Amino acid sequence: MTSSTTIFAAKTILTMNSYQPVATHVAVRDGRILGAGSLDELAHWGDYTLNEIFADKVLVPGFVEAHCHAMNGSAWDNTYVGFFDRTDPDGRLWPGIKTLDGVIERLIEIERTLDDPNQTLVAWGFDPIYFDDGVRMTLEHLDQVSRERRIMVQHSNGHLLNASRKVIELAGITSSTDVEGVMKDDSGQPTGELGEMAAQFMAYKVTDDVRRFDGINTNDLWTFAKTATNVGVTTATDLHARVEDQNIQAYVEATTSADYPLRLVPAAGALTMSIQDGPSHVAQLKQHNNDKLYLGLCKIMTDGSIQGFTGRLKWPGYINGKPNGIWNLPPQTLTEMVEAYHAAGLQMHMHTNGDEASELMINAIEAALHKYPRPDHRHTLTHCQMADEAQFRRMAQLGICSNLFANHIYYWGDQHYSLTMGPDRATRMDACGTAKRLGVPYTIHSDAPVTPLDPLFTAWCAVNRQTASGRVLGSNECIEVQDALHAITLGAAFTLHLDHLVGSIESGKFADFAVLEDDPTGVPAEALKDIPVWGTVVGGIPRPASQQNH
Amino acid sequence: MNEIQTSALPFTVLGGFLGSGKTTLLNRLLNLTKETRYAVLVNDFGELNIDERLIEAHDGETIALANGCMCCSMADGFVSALTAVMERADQFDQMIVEASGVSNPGRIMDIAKLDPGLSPNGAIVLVDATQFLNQLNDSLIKDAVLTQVKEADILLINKAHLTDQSTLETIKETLDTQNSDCTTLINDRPVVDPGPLFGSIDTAILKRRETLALVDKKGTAEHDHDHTHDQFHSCVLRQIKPIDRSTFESWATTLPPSVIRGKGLISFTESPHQQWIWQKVGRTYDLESSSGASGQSSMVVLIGTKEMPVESDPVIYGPFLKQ
Repeated sequence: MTSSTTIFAAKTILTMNSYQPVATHVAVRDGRILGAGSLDELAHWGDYTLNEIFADKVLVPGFVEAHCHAMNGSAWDNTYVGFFDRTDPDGRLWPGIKTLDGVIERLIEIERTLDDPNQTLVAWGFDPIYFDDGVRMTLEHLDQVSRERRIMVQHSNGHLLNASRKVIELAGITSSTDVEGVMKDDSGQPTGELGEMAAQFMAYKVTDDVRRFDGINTNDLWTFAKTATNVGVTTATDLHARVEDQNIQAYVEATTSADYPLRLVPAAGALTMSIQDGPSHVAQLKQHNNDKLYLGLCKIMTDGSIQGFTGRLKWPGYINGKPNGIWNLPPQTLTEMVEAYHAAGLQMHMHTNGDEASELMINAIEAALHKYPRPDHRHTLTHCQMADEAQFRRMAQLGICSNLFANHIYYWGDQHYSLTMGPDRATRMDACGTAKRLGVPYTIHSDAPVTPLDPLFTAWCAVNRQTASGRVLGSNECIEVQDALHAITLGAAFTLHLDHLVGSIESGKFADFAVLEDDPTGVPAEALKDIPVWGTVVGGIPRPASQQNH
Repeated sequence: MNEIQTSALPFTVLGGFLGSGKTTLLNRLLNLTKETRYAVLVNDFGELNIDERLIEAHDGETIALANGCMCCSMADGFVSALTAVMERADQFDQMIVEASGVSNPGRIMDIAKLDPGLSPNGAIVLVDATQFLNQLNDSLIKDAVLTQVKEADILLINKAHLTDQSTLETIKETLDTQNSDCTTLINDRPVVDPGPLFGSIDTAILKRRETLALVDKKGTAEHDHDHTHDQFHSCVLRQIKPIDRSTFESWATTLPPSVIRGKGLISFTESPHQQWIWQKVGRTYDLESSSGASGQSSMVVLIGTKEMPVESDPVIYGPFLKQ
């Protein structure tokens, strides 16, 4: 059977391929790109069907998100009460709520719709640090919603929650409870705000929400793909995957469906396996790979988060004097882990937030390279938020890539300025400019669902470095729009060892495009995040975003 | 609450930095135990090399032992493993959590303080005599090591024979500065019998008001008596009249660190017909009213190191009858 050729016409095509950066047409056969150019040039491939649905749109390579998580498709079953606007997988926009009263009002609305008095009302995305007056939610606030219902309001940082009076009573938490994480008011009464594992465990226990981790399922993966399509993403990681058979089965099942509109790169969580068995187990997973599934990457967790004061910082530490953060495993064990996975020929993405964590991983990779020399390993420090210039220089010398958390500048930049790092070091956080200048291959990420999946927004962050309050945090680290587009396409693909397959519109690669309503290089840099996304093309098949239905 | 208290599963945290000997100690405990059924939450299956002869069944994240014990991996996360064990709480006498080399045992113990299904049974923290002073000079791990020491109810110095006497003295002084009221034991030549260290004292035994022999039988677990009597002492104290609460509390808080564990049923003068369950592990103690027991008399059992003063010492008998 002869394969047919489709030529897509577009207003502009930004290819990200240097021998032909701009084109008007792209020819596709068997899900792959034959070539880009003018219609006349592409006609040399023989018979074709001209598809003009994108005649007034701009095509760019499908976006590649190298640090996000496939879980949490089910978050939208619960009520969103975050400060910032957020779009659900169906393309519906949920406006951010700017005051505590507003949050309570939304909870009251939702409470009225619940028929079963035993149903727990769960809300997520709450973030009081953005409220002007620094007000915290208390039991009295949630009493306005209901004194009888179990209510749980999860904070956006994932480390805190507010529970209603019913939950606190059922959990047996009183003024005499002497446990870290149970916040109390001046009179010693619990406020309902719970931090730390023990306090949260009890709250989840009495709301019947202590579930054993049952991994990812195909529904989650379809929801994830829908979210990805809405923002132009055609290749995405699930950057801390469990490798049980049922999870792998879900990845295989979803990606072997012809309609599944996303290439998945699950990274096996190394901390869920023993050092002895992990590397061979991950290597064996590659046998499941197909055109849309790329197993074999590993994820190493080192420290915590900077805004949670659990990131590991080098001297002089946190500017507010908080003690240094935590390691997920002893540094020596993390170092052994790096050596084991490196020796097995596997690639690692290492979660490092603080600069001490980055240093530990750079040292570990250097030591592993001395012992097991290996060209082109592309081990990547992900987040890598505080790396200093000396660390970037070492990364360049050692062939280490960086995946910088550009979204952090917008969402927590003000907190980093005043509370965690202070003005000096905050200006160097997520230093795309330095990475570029010193020749460290880099990409930028959302860590969705920590912040919303949306590469154009992430690119906007790296270009403008503007915080939520409007402060420009370190203008010397700003990059050009063209650099940011590279970071969210070819740059990300490089850090995943997939740059020969995706990341540019180039002959031989998968026909994966993000379809935009405007040219990112033609709008003001401040407007990058506002460019509407029509949807994607994956393997030559157009996939409209959910918002097309609205 | 009080009924739950008596059926609550004793919950012990085993902490200590990487290489301090947690796994060796656990293996020893699991090998020696005869009656007490331990459910152990372990950090990594790859590292807990359980004696093959003990293993009865291996099913996913859990290993069942022929002696009734179970090991459950925390690879799925702590909460998941904890929930799995608590669903089968009636099959075990004790739960032990092997903390990771960098975790804070106090934060893990908080779970037992909150959950009525669990009763805190002490945080045992191991110190590696050959590495401890180096660890305090390593800025990457110093804070984690010191936090573990500060949060311990019982400190156990391991590998003492591999270091010299003056180093050992420096270690002891440092531990004493960081956590002065905690029991510190040296686990070396002879090695400490782990049974009494982990063993909780069964409330039912106190209700029966019988002798130390019974306590030994179930409470301080199974061990080689001759061997153990060198390492641990125990005593039973009684009082037939209600005790003044503040006198009791001042006694309880000034017991020397050589007293490792204590448990008792107490009657106070303020409410003479009500009894309270008192429990001490290292420096942590807990007093809760008991609905299940009544009477005006009191009885406590103390277990200590061989340095524990004798029963006729007023520090020990305090408000109880002099023996």
